[in-house]
Amino acid sequence: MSLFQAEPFLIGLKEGAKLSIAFLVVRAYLLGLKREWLLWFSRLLVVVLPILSGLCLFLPVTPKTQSYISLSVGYSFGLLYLLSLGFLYSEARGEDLFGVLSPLIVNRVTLSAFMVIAGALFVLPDLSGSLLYVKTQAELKESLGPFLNMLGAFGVSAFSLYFLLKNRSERLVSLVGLPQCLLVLALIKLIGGGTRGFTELSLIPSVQKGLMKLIHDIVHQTFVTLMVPDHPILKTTTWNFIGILFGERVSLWLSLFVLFVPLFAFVMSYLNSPVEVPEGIELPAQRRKYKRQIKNKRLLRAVPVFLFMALIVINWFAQRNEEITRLYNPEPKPVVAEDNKVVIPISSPGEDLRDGAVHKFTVDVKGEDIRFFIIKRDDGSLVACLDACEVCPPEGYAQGEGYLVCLYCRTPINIQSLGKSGGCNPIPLKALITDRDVQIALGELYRKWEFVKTKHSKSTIKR
Amino acid sequence: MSIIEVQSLRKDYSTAAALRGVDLVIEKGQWVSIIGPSGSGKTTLLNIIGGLDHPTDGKVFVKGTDINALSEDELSVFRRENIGFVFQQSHLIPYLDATENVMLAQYFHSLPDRKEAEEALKRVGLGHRLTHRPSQLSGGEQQRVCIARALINNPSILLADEPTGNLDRTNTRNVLELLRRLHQEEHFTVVMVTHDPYVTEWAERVIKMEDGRIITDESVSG
Repeated sequence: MSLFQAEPFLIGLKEGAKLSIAFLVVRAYLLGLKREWLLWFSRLLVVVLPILSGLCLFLPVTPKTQSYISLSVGYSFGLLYLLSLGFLYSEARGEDLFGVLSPLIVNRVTLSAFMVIAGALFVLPDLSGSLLYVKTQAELKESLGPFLNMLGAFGVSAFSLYFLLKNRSERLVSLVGLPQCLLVLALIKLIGGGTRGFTELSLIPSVQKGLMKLIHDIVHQTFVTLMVPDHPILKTTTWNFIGILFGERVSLWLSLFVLFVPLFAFVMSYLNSPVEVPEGIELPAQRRKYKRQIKNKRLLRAVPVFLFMALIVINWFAQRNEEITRLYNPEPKPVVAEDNKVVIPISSPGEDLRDGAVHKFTVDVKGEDIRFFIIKRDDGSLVACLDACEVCPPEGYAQGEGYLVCLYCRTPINIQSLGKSGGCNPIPLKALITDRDVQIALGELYRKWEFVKTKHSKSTIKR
Repeated sequence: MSIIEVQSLRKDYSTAAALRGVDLVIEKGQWVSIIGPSGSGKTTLLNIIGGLDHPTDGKVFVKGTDINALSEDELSVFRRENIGFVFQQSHLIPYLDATENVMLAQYFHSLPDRKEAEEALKRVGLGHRLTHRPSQLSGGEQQRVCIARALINNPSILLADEPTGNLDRTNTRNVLELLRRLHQEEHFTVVMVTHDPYVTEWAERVIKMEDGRIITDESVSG
């Protein structure tokens, strides 16, 4: 099976498995709720939502679409996760999340609406991303084959898993309340719904990158605008320390902390909080029995949370070194300037600037070895940047899947965003890009490299 | 209102019949003594009523439940919810103290609660022996720990098999006085097997067995 056939097939298997497992968990929750009409409604949603996600095929496949889909996958995971945390904590306190408003809120209409929203959050972003990815494959191949492969695999995995595990979901009833149900949906998205382009096997690297970027932006902006004195020695020393804060190790632990700690805190408070025995249960043994029942129920309800925590930890540590080994960092190729400019042919024997890989070059200007790179963005256009940013020591960038990473501060930069200036973005170079070559003036290179060297990060660079 | 109903109960062992068609109804809250010589079938009857043994034939209804129709797990739950046992031997765990021995019964029922266990021991007059191990207690004190353990889960039936068999007269009277007080306070049903006529004097009803059959069944007034 070629890659063209295998990838849509695997994507179909993955999406089908996600949908059927999610449905089985929701089914277990609804069986426990004993509301038959909700069960029927969920069956309807399982059919309607995948069909609705098919509407995304009418969207043009552009970097913008890709970016929106990626964001919606991330945000939908975040929303499901936060919702589940909210419900978990209200359950731990033995309170209703909506308090006195509960009778108004929890009725047939709002429950149906909630199911539609949760279902849409779960199904639409991931499946739309997968479908659009397969659409790009189908367009490249000019055939419907990838779609057929995906749909076939989707159907097979969804139905076979459903019928294999259908009876098991009845055993899950005691494990799954609403918070656990939402948490499992979030978990399935986290483990099985990511965005490399449109889709990938896991969302975890995206969460980690997102957090890394967030920490970086906060720390960076705070120190740059407020605290770092202008003297180069002080700045370098300071950044050497600050760089640790948004380095890979810190972000790894922090992202683990962000996902793990709220759940751990919930489990601890849930399992240890005292049980209030209702009035009317007088005999001490009956009171103990009631407490035991509640504690057993809590323990069962904590099982999916433990599962979530265990899977996060396993995935985290399984992937923690992956990014480093996956990074591509070629040796800069020396080039010679002519007529005060460097001219890099787009296509030459052994090298094609449009192959999607980062192409690094170095040129000697006034005794300085200036590094820069050229890379094709997702929209097909070429972009030239210095192999340095305005902030960090110029250790340069390496390429991951769909992004570049600053080798100093480990900040990921989306390839499509290259050309933007400021912060940890590689400093963009004015370049004349023709059909045959890329031309960059030496003055442009020298002026911007000098800026990096002196690190006038508080001033605005003239472009 | 009957709490125990035994119908045509038979128990055959390979060499002999221990019960030969016993019919018996015990009312809720009664104190019944079953007396008879060794081998008359009284302990076998008690064990079958308590779900510790199975009859060869016949039915036993406890609180309206046919206990022989229950699975082993269901029977186990039924026993711990409804029946307390006191035996001739104390069967206390030697390396646990008095409180912990009582808490063990709580643990298997639901949750251990030290305070409640200590209260139970105080009620049987062992407030000064809470942290004593069985080897540090007299026979009468051990039996009182057993009573506290048997009653800690508020059973509706207490089955006692020769509970005073190892005790002298003074301790026997102490244990029986204690049981009478608790019986009056908590209104549980007592079925006590004994071969000691003195013990039967404390009962409201005395059933005499011989050779696997009930030969007399008398209510005792006052």
